[in-house]
Amino acid sequence: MPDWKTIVRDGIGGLRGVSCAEREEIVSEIAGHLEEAFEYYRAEGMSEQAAMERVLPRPREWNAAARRIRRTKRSPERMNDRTKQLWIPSLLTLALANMLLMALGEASLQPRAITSDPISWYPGITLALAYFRWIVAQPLTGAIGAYLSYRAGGNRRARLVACLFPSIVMFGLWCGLVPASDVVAANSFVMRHPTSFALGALGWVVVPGAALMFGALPFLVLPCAKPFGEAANSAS
Amino acid sequence: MKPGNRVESKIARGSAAVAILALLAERPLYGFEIARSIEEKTDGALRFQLASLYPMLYELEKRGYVKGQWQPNRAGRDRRYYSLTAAGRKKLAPLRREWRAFFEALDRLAGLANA
Repeated sequence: MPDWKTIVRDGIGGLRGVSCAEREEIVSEIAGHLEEAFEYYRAEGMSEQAAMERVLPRPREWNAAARRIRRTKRSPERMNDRTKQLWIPSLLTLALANMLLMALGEASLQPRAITSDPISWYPGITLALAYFRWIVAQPLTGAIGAYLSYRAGGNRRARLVACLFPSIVMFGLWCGLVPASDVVAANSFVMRHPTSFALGALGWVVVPGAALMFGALPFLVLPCAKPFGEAANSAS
Repeated sequence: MKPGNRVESKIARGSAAVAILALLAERPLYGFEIARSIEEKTDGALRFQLASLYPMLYELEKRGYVKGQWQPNRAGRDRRYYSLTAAGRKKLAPLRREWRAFFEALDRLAGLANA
């Protein structure tokens, strides 16, 4: 027996702009139709191949159907879904990551007249410790971003972007600010030293990104969720 | 059905909304049943492929004329049943009038009744 859902998924494609939960509902419905039509024609005495040819739309018909479904299902409401599934979780992840960094940085750089911790006399080490603590906290930040997107019904791509958003922004800043500082402030050190540029990118983009994604992994492997609070009117 | 009696797809598409709404006015149906009923009741003259049926159903649902609801069945296969809403029932009456007027006009023009 053919895998009807896979056939439908291949036929209608990604249905960009349609939420993951809604797309799965459409796939289930059309796959059910194909299966029933196939069984109907088989019962009428058609061969398996003839029944398949009869029930399966041609590529251009799939394309036309996907286009019309996309147009119907994508509405102002879908725009809201995008906000709920992508932008809000992404911006919250970014805010959380930056607030943590600021808090840890502030706490580490406070002048200490008297301290029982000898390490705190060395600013380099305290900064490194602040960075380390920040990195350790990143999996939680990434998990929160991916969970919020998952709860709003976001697909895997939306969840991935939501959890990695701080690193994506940092990557943009790193690629933009470093060359800009060369032009504006004549600070060309990093530009003249590619190793420094790469190390900076590693420390502020790659390592935090890996930590964010590590925390988000449980929510990245999950299938689509029904948007939180939405009436449960669908099956399968 | 005699060969050549199949209605061209563009004409069929234009009549899809009224055909679906009229069927659903009788009782709730799921997609495959809608397609089968249309084909049987028109003796094969109108045939909706799933590629045109579902976009139309979703369009009607978006406009609030029909409402889809998943229901389990004994075979363990869930089906999405569509039923006519109050707005759909209200829409169907003028649609029927329009199509009747259209056919009458076409008949006067092309003498369809004698064809």
